[in-house]
Amino acid sequence: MAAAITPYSRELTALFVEDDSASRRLMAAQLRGLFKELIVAADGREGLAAFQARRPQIVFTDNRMPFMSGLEMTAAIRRIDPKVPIIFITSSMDTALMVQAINLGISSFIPKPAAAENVRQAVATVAGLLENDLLQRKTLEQELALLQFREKYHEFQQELAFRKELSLLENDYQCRCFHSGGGDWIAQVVYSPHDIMCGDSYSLRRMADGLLLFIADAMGKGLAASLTTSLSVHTFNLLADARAAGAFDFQDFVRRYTDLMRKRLLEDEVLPLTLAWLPADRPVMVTAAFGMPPVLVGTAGGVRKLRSDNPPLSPYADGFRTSGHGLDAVRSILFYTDGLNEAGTDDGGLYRDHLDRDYAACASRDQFWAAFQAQVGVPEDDVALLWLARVDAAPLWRFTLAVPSRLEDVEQACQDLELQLEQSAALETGARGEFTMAIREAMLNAYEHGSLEIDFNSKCRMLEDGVYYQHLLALEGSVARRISATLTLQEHAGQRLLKATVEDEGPGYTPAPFLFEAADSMLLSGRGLKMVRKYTDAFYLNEKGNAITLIRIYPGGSDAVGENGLD
Amino acid sequence: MQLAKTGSTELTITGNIKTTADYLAIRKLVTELVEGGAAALTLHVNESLSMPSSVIGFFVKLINRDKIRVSMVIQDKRLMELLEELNLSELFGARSL
Repeated sequence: MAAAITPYSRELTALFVEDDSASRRLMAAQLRGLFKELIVAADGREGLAAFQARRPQIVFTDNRMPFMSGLEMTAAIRRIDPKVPIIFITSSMDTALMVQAINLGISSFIPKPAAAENVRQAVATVAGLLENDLLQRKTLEQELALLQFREKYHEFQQELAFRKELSLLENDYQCRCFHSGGGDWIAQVVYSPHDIMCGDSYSLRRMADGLLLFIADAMGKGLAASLTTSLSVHTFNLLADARAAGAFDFQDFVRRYTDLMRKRLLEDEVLPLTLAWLPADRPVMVTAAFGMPPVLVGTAGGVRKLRSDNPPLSPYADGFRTSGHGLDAVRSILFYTDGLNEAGTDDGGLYRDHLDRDYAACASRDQFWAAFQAQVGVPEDDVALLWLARVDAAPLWRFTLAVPSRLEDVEQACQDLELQLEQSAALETGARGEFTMAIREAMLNAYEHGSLEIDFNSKCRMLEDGVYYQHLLALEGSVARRISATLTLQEHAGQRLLKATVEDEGPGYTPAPFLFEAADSMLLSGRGLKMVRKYTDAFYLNEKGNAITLIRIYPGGSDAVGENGLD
Repeated sequence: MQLAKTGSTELTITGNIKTTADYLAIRKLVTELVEGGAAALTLHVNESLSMPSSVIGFFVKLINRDKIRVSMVIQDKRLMELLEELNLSELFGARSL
């Protein structure tokens, strides 16, 4: 029975090399109908040239030929393509020749004179192998494409999930200050997820009569921890939303919250978290901490550690304890997850050994985070920290000015403020230069966006058209609003606060969220607040949005913390 | 701040860039150079630790809309750091001295 040749052979190009013209004609006639194209060469040298030029998928060759033998040609082809099937057509059955041919990877032999059935059999075998190779390659390519698709899909899903997780984190006090016990405070956050899905979460909520704080560190890492922490912060936010108005009862809140969360924890799951309440009318903080690292409280005398009131929340927890803490002499409070204190340091230790000292020595969140990073580099776990800092105290020194909303007057005011700063000697030259730049940006914001009420998009459009400066000068003549600036140097609990408050008489505005995101190099405007952020330890707006206060915090004062000022 | 034209397409700024007058002076001189046919500018920024957002906005427009090639040689590492943080170092062709 004649060998069945796959139809795939008709998609292939073959090379046939034979020096004898009669044999060449006869064999070519047999082969031609089996392939898409047959290239014919009269000796090994010509065959090699044809192979290099046309790259056929199958080669048929005689051995004994002038200029270059079939074996020599095969060796040369193997250097170019180690896999192309080569079929030897030979009358010699010499063992040494056969061994050489096999070592060169000859696929098949056809004895001379070549019988039609032998030729068909060889073609059927080789074309079948080539077709299988092709199918395998295609299958691999499809699997690879599927894997790449799945990878991209999962990446996309993870990004979506992370965005969702971020959307659950609330901070009602971003760029706002809050009042507690007669003092002004700011709340700053560091949120540093290790994985895309983070086990840490936080929330800072504005209640009718105080600030309610939440920070949690779900057990384990990855997706499961992320689900638990998302659930825990979402539950917190829902409860807080329901109680945002009216008198707030912290004990009742904690009871309701823990009752709800206990039902959602697996039987072997625990949830470390802290809830804290800072009422506006009393200088106290009440905490209900469940298995979290100690809260650090910075005072003039050193660092106070508030240990957790309860074990981590579990399905079996029954009741809870809370504790109250006075805030009279407190300058800052640090809540954090264990990714901070358990982080490995470059010297092989744990950051917990440096934590108290760094916290005592650093006057601001940014200083503290820089100190942490200097010793840890990139942490191996999620880290979240909430830094509450008191930002008011009796002024040691104060300077105020007010000017009309005219560019010339604003410029003069900036120079006067700079001079006052220089004379106050509050900051060393470099830091003073930075703070001055922040004040200038704030003054120009008050002038452009406050007094003249130019919105972001209009400004970009006019800058694009090159008419912005002329527009400012034309508009300022019709505006009677004034801009005031107050510099104060304050001292509280062993630290000094240099503050600059710039206020305009415009309607006030809320900075667009993108102003706090990564910088877009294409935007013509929107960098002023980014620079304010860079050059200050903190800044906040008033409720109306027409006054901004910039703060630099640094150690100093008669009751400064000593190097070993820990308790 | 002192501003000097130190080549046909080269400006050198010494001192701190901070006032509105500084912004206007930079804008005026750069505009003159561009109107004179300069398609590329090199700015040597000596000493300044920062760059007001108004000056930044002006150069962003110059590069993106007017298609002027700008490169900056920055002496103070704090200014270099600011440009990197604002994602501007590549756009401004900024390099440290």
